[in-house]
Amino acid sequence: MDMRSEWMDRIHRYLQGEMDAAEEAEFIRLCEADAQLRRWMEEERQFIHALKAGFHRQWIKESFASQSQARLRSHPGSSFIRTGKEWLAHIAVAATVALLVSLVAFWSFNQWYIRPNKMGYVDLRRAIDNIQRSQYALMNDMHHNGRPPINPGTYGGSGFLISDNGYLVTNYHVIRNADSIYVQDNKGNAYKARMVFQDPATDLAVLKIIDSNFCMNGALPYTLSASEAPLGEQVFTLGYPKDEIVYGEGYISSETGYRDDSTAYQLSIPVNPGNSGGPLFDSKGRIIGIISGKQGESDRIAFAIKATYLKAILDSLPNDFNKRAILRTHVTKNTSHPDLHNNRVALLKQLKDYVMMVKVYN
Amino acid sequence: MSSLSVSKSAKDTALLNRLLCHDREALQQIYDTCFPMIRALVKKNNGLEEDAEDIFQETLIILLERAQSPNFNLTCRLKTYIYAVSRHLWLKRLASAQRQLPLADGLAEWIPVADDIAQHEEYDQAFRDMELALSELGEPCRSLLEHYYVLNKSMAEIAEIFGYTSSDNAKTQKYKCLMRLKKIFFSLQGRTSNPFTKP
Repeated sequence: MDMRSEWMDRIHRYLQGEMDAAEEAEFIRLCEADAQLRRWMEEERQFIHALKAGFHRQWIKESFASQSQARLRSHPGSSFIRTGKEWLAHIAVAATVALLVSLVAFWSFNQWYIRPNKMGYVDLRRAIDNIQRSQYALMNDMHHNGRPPINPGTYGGSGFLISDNGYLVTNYHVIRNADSIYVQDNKGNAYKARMVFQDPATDLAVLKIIDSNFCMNGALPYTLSASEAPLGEQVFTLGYPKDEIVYGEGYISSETGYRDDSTAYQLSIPVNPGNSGGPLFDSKGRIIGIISGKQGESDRIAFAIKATYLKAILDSLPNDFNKRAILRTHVTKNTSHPDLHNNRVALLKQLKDYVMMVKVYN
Repeated sequence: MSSLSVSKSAKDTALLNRLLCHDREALQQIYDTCFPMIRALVKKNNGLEEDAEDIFQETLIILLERAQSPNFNLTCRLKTYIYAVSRHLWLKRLASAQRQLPLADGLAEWIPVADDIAQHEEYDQAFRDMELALSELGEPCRSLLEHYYVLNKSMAEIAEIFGYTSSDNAKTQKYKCLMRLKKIFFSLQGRTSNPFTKP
């Protein structure tokens, strides 16, 4: 018996065709000389044959049991569907596996795919801690305007309106994993919003305010810039690194972003967690980008996604989104008045109503 | 024989080889091309949709078992072979239910599949026992043996897939699994009359 087990590996390798020519010739020679070995080999051959046939039986049956309803039976004309219990077990297993796979895929996607997850790149969504919560609660009391949630949210970012019916843009990383999303204007009015579009690759997301009492008076005071902004362009941003809107001013320091990312600008501008998703304006008050992150060790080096990439996703938005409002070339409102551009304070007074805080609960 | 039919038979052989290592796409392809005619055959001759499916599954099991032996030779199109086996099986079933209707298409004369089916049925009980033994074997043994004997993976690949530190370790594990399978299989065989000899 021990003799046999020593031979077994060689017999099986021979039968599986794993031996090279020299080894095989040597083995055949041994077989010819040894009747006992030939008998063993015949028995192993039969056993492997049965082993494979057993696997074939299992495979065919499993394929028909678990796959036939979804795929094999999809042939036109076969409308007969079995609903026996033995099928349910297979379907349940298949569904569980599918669920697990998608959960794992979703998790790893969130872990690794999103682009701010790079060394030295810090995305600017704000984690709201307990102290901030208490300050915030006070503020809510002062405003007293009805239903906004008492809880200030888990994360915060910024966003800006891109239509007159409540569509607004922010960063994907701000709202990822969100259970519910509220946006709040600089007067403290909070509105419930829903995500209508996300693109983790460009790190952009579009929200829609779904509160019925949201109403915007008048057209947007800004448009998307049609061209890329040049190096050295004077820029400014509005955002919510704290509970009040904050203005920041700087310039475009490079036409590419983090690690030469051509979809982004590098800026010299003070930004902090909470600025993510805020608009980046050029000196004429047009939107040229979306603030998305900063370089970890530096306070002034920030990055913004170029507005061209925002423009590219506008076509993917639902039908009631009117993209003319944000793309129109001539600003008809009084914001186009040259005096206003020279007077930053007056301009900001216009713009700040359209930049909102995004609050994420999860 | 025209070059067209040579390439067709080469395609059939390739398809069969993919089926032998449990390629799902190949199975789907065979299902799509062959099942409709089996269904038509069975339904036209006193059968139901379920009968057609049973017959088709049985046919595929016989096809795989026969085709894995080195002296199997496909003398006609794969589709024809499958049809002939299914037809034979269905006729037999009709006969056993005593409601046989003659299928006068002369197919039996020019595609002799009766031998193949008889050879399969001689060991049918052994294959069923093996199927049971495999499901009693448990994981990872079952998958390990499947990867080696059906999916034709090398020991090095298996070591990587199953997380063994070396192909020698995988080999030891495979040997243990095989021994356990033999034990289960031959104890099942003991309950029935069998054509297999116990080592």
